[in-house]
Parts: sequence; C-alpha cells; structure tokens
Amino acid sequence: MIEVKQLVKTFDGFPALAGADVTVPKGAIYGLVGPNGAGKTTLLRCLTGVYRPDGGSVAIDGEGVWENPAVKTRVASIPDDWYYFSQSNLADMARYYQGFYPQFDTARYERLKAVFALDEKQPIRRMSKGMQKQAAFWLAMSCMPDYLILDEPVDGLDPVMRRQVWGLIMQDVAERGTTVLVSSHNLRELEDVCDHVGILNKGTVLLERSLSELQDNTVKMQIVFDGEPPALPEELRVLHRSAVGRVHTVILRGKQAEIEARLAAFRPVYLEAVPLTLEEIFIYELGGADYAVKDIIL
Amino acid sequence: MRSRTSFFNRTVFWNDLRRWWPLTAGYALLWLLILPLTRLTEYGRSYGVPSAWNMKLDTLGIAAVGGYWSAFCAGILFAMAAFSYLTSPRATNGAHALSARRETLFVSHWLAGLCAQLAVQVVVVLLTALVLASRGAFDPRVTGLMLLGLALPTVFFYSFGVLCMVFTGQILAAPVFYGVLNVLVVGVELLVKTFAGNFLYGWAEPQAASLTPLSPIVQLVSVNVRAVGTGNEYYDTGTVSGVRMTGEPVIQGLGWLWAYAAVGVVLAALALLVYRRRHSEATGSIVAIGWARPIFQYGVAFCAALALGQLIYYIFFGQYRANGSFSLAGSLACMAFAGLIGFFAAEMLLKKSFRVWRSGWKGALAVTAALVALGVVLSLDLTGYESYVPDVDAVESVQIDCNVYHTNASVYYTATDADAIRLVTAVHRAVIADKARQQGVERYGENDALTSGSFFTVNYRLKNGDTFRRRYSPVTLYRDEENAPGTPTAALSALYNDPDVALMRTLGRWGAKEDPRTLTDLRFTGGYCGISRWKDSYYQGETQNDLSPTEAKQLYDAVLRDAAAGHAFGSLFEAREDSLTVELYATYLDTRDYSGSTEPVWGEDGRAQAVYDLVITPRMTETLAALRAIGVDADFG
Repeated sequence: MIEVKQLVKTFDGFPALAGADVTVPKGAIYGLVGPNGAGKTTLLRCLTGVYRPDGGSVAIDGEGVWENPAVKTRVASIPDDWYYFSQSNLADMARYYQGFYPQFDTARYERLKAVFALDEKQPIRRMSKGMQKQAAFWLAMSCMPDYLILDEPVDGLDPVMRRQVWGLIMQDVAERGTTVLVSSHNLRELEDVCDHVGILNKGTVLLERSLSELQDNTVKMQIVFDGEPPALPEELRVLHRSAVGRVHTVILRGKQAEIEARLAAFRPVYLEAVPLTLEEIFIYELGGADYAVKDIIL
Repeated sequence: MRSRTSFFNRTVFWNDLRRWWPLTAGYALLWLLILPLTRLTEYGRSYGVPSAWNMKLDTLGIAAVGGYWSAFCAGILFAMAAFSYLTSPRATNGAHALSARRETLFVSHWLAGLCAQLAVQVVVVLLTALVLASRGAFDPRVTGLMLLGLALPTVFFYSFGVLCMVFTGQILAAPVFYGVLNVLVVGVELLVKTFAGNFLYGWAEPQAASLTPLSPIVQLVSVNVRAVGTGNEYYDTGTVSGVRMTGEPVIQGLGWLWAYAAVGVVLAALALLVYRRRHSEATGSIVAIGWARPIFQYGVAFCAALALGQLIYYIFFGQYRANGSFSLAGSLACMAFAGLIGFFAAEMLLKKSFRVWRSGWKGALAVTAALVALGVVLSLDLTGYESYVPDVDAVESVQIDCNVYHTNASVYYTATDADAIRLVTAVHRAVIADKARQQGVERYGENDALTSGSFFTVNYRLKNGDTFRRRYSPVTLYRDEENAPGTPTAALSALYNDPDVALMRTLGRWGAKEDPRTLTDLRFTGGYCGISRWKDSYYQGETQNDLSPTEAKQLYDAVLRDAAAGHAFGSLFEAREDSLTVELYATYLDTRDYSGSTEPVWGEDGRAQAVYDLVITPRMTETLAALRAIGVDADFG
C-alpha cells in the first residue's frame, strides 16, 4: 500500500504540494488526476525518491521511500520524460536496469519482444517518442515491480499499443497483485482501467475514492418539466445545471435513488439518471474549487 | 525493511567506464605520446643518447611537470563526465529514481572517474619503465615516483572538479568555477594589495603566511614541481664549467603533491556531503546549493568591484593621476559601479532572468553601502593603520631601510636601543605627519637640486611578539629642511648622522645586518678594491686589486676610526662617489641558535661569512689614507 500523508514540497517558496494525502490500496490501479500545475508530477517524484519532501511522509508498505533502496527496488516508474543514455540501445538499458532490480526477469524480457516490435540494437535516441515509450514499458515490466508508477504513460502510443500496454498492466495487477499509480489527463482512458481515483488541485487532494463510490455519489439527471421548471430545494447539492430547450441537465451530489425521489415530487414529464463520466466528475468537482470551465467569447 | 548502506554500485561504475571510453582513450593516447613513445624515439636513436641517470631524470621530470598540468586539465573533464547527469533534469530524475542511495551513486561515479585516470597512468608508467629498461635505465624507485607524480595531483584536481560539479547544475559553469577557484585566492590577494597600496598610506605587505597554497595550480607552478638530483657537484672540463645535479633523481615539491592529494580526499568527502544535501530539482541552476547562492552573488560583486572597478578607474581616470596619488572617492565610485554590475549579473544567472532590478535592489544597496563604509573607514583611518607608530618602550627592535634616489645615500639599520629606536620612530612620525604634503607633491616637476625622492621602510618587532611593517614610497626630501625640526628630511638626517648608523651605513648594505663590533671572533679573509675609470661619460674599465686579510683588517680599522671621529657624518644630499668599490671579506663564529629554524648555518665550522661593501666619502680621511698605504689612490677630485 502506498501512503502519502500531509506531503509538502516547495520550490523557491512556491508550494507545489501543500499537505497532500494519498492512499493507494495494494493491488489497486489508482488514477491521479488534476489540472495542469496541480502537483501530480511532483507527487510522483516524491514517491519515486527523486524529490526529498519538505514535510509529511511518503511510505510504501509502511517503509519510507526516501533513500531506501530496499523499497525502491520494488518500484518501477515511467516518468513523462523517461531517461536513457544517449548512446545506449535497449539491450544496454536492460543490462543497466538489471544492476538495480535483482528480480529483473530476463525470460519475461525475451517474451515481451513479441509485444514490443522494437529493434534491441537500435540506439534509443533514434526511436520515435512512441517507440521510446514502448521501450520504457518493456524495461519497466521486465523489472517485475510490485509498484508501478506512471506519469502520462500512454502519451505518444498508438491506439493498438495503448490497448496492449494496458492489457499487460491489468494482467500484472490480476496475476501478481501489482499496485499501479497512474497520472494522466486522459480521463476517458483512466475510467476504463482505474478502480480508484484521486483529484489533486493546488497541491492538495480534493477527493479520493474508488471509482464506483465516486460515480455512486454524483448523479447526472435529465429532466423535462411541463412548463417553467420549479426552483429546486437548497438541500439538493447541485454541482451544475444547464438546459437545452425544455431538457434540463442537473448534476447533483448524493445517492441516485434519494435524488430521483426528491425530483419526482415535482412531477416532471421526463426524469432519467444518465451515467456520469470521470471527465464530468473531474470538471464539476473542480468547478467547486474555482476551476470551472469558462465560456469564452472572443 | 531498510536496506543496509552500500557505497558502491558495480553497474554504475562499469556503465560509466563504458560510456566515456573516448575520453579515457584520448587521455591514454596523450600520455602514451608524452611518455613511452617519445622516450622510445628519444633514447632509441644511434647518437647523442643521454646517460642512464639523465634518462631517469628527464623521464621523471616529464612525469612530474606533465603530471600536474594534465591532472589540472583532465580533472575537470572526467568530473564533468562522471557527474554530467546532475546538469540535466531528465538524467538527474532518472538516476535518483533508481534503487541506490545518494552516497552509493556518488562514490561509484567518483571512483569510475578516478580509476579511469589511474588505470591509464599505471599502463603508461609501466610502458615507460619498459622503455627505460630496454636502455638499461630501469629504476623501480623512479618508476614509483613517476606514478606518484601522475596519481597524486590527479586525486586532488579530479576531486576538486567533482566538488565544482556538485555545486552547480550547469555543465558549462563547472569548468568556469574550477578555473576561477584555482586562481581566485591569488587573484583576490593581488587585487586587495593593489587597492591597499593605493589608498593606505604606508601600506606594506604583511609578512604573514602566503595564501598561494589556496590557489592550487599557481602553488604547484610557484614551488616548481620538477625532477631534480639529490646533490650538486662542480665540474670544469677546461672549456666549460658549472654546477650540475647528481644523486638519485627525486621530485621537487613531492610533499606538496602529497598534501594536495590528502586535501583532494577531503574535498571528495566534502563533495559527498554536498551531494547528499543537494536537491534533485536544483539541476539547471548555476549554484545548486541554497546556502552557496548568496556567497556566489556577493562574491561575484566583490570580485567585480575589485577587478573591474579598479580597471575602469585606471582606464578612464588613470591618466589624470599626475602626482602619484589616487582619488579614493573616484576609485570607490568605479568599484561600486562594477560591484553593482557583478551583483546584478550574478542575480541574473541565479534567477535565469533579466528582470532582476526589483528583486535585487536590497542586495545592490548592501554592496554600495559596504563600499561607502569602506571609503569612510579608509578616509578617516578608523582602523588606525596609517597613524599608528608604537611607543619606544613597546619596541624591541626596528629595522629601517631607506634610500635617497638622487644621491644614493642609504640607511639600512636595525635599531635595538631606546635612543636609536626613538630616532627611527621620529622619522616614521614625521613622514605620517607630512602625509598631505607628500601626497600632493608633483613628482614630474621634482628638482633634484632642491629635493630628492626616497623610499622609507620600517619593520617593527614589538616586545609583545607582534611584528608589523610600513613602507612609504616615494617620500620627498627637501634640501632646505635638513635642519627644520619635525620634517621628514630633518628626522632622517638626524638618524643618518647618528654615530652607530653612520658606521653601519659606511660598512654597506651587507655588513649592516649586524654590528661587526658585536660579532664573535671576527677574522678578515681578504677583500677587493676596484676603481671604475670614466672618460666623457664612457666607461673605460676598472682597476682591480685583491686585498690581503691584513689589508682588509687595516681598512676596517680605518673605517672605525673615521666613524669615531665623526668623519662619516654628512648630508643626505651629498653625492656619493660610486667609482670606488671596496669590499672586505670576513668570517665570524656564528653563535645564534638555529634549532627549529630553516635558515642554514654557514660553513661546517660554525663560522658565518660577512661582506662589507664600504661607502667612502671624501671626509673619511683615515680610510683614504689606509687605501693609499696599500697602493690605491682614490681621487674624488
């Protein structure tokens, strides 16, 4: 389990993380989302032992990560700007990784050749961005990590390779109980793979729940009234409302059954709960944190 | 579970060596060319092959001199190769995300850079030893010394380079820091002394320990690290004579190489501590360590003020310096301007922005205030440096060295009794009191019929053990003030005509170090007398006479009689006859205690040598008579 408590990290006085709390259960795929500059990459770098926290704690299975090779051996990470030696090829990097990951599985590395159609002898610097990402995945998966920390992992990969990569990750989670923490702006994709989500904004975690819990707790209703729409009671926590013609769309926080019952009392002509996407949850939750989508007219 | 600390990671080490092989190969090629290959060519020819001893000396010399210069150049290159990952955020993050502690990474990279150089050196030295062996000049001791000559400076300069690398996050800043820090102390010392010499009246370099060792490459050059023989012998082939080295070849300055190697290990440890404290996010910064940033910024401002400020002053205002004195206000204004340029330039480098005026104004104000404060301190002499003259009772001895330029009248004398010390301090006080006039003298218009330039240096040893020096140059003396009490001219004239001083200056500069009347068992061994002949201002040669010990003693006694009779007294402005050279040679029993001193005892019999270079004036009738008695007719006509 990954436990981040009250994590603080500042850069020249600017608080990139201001007391972030994150808990990633063992075997979970945790999606870390947030606007640009929210502190996601900083959080991941603290988790991989790159940055020394200014406050709070970062622990994996109860052990601090900072300067702890025993823990870091169990963690593989693919940052957005993955590093390789400029004159090296995949085989060189595999040898290099073996020096840090005693559990590096050469057999798996060989098997993954079938998945990643890359030339092992080609210098990595000559590969395209997507191919370099594949190389990073190939090596990370061969390290047999218990924890996989990914920052924009499939950025640059084609749709087929995205599916392949996610498939591999899901397989590892299912078979080996790998815990995955992934930061991405591709909420549609995260929605398909994550079972837990945390929303980070301005260095703090706004909310952190399992995806089902999150979707259960926020409801998107489409309502048509006969005539003017009534004023909704204040105790209904409306996150957003809009209307197209007579069809009103209202996003509310609460249990679906309870909200449906409350709205049914207004005798609408049409009332239906519509599945809420992660993107919508992200947008409307952040709207409450002063990060609403602005209607811009130029 | 916390892992146990490991200081070495094999993967990092070998990966480094594999990645930089071109650098290592270039270094090896250079040394192969410098030592074994050139030695093979040099000693393999069929003519003019040097002796085995000379082969060893030459080869060791190349290793010693080339050793520290190549270590100086290669040190920073290997440091940059080993720690280049600290200058790229991507590489830093990649390295620090791996399962190795900071100290493991540091030691592995440091060792890789060091071992690459040492391995090359071992191979080069072994090959050189083979070449020497093939010419019958193999010497295991010289082979070991060669290796030390290469390896010891490598440990220092490489570790110094590594320290520079961990302090910065910019690859190009490292060689700049490295180069500057190698000469910084000597440079700043020189600039401070120049400044003090211009604005502190009476400034003399303190006889403190030199700071040159803090500028390593300058120090190694100045101690002249090279190969020498352990002995010397005189040779004379009939056509050529001289002194040549003999004995086993050794490296001169090897102690310094050992000392710097030890310092190198300390610097490496210091670099490790800095590396452990260094934040990964500091990559890309000119100065990666937070506490070092203000030091860098104010250091740049200080150096810019000293170097650029003084340069600006000399370039733009130096031509107005007609009377030999500098304008403190003008110089400080230039220094403040240059200091501000340095301060804001450093701020721009640190902030990576040109918009630093608002954020840096407080620091700029501090720099300006510091220079204004310096100006106030100097102009009001708040430190008391310029006005300080110790009480006579507090002085154990004072040595005065003074020379009047136009007449060559000189005083080189060590006063130890109260009356003599009082005379010296009177001159010192008079020169200080005359500061305003002395600094306003128009030197170019000096008329030697009325005035004469002089320098005046005093070295005090106080009873409390302290020592200090002052030097005033030039000091203008006025012919019409020889009898005007309180003036420098009168005070110096009084000293000049003190009976003891008169005797000592008559015995010349060499003899005046110690009063010959106090020496034990003074024995004259001979002498020399020469009279230069001139015709129409053209030198016509010299009449030379060697003096016997008896003649030398007779002349010495005559000088004593002249001094006792007051014949050595005279005016500072009286011309000296320089065409007559009389030197008396003597030895005496040196009874001084040299234990704990590096000064050698002269002669194996404990006798030291004395040379008296007599200064003879027309009034010294006894001496002139003695000269005539031995057949030397000195005509002062």
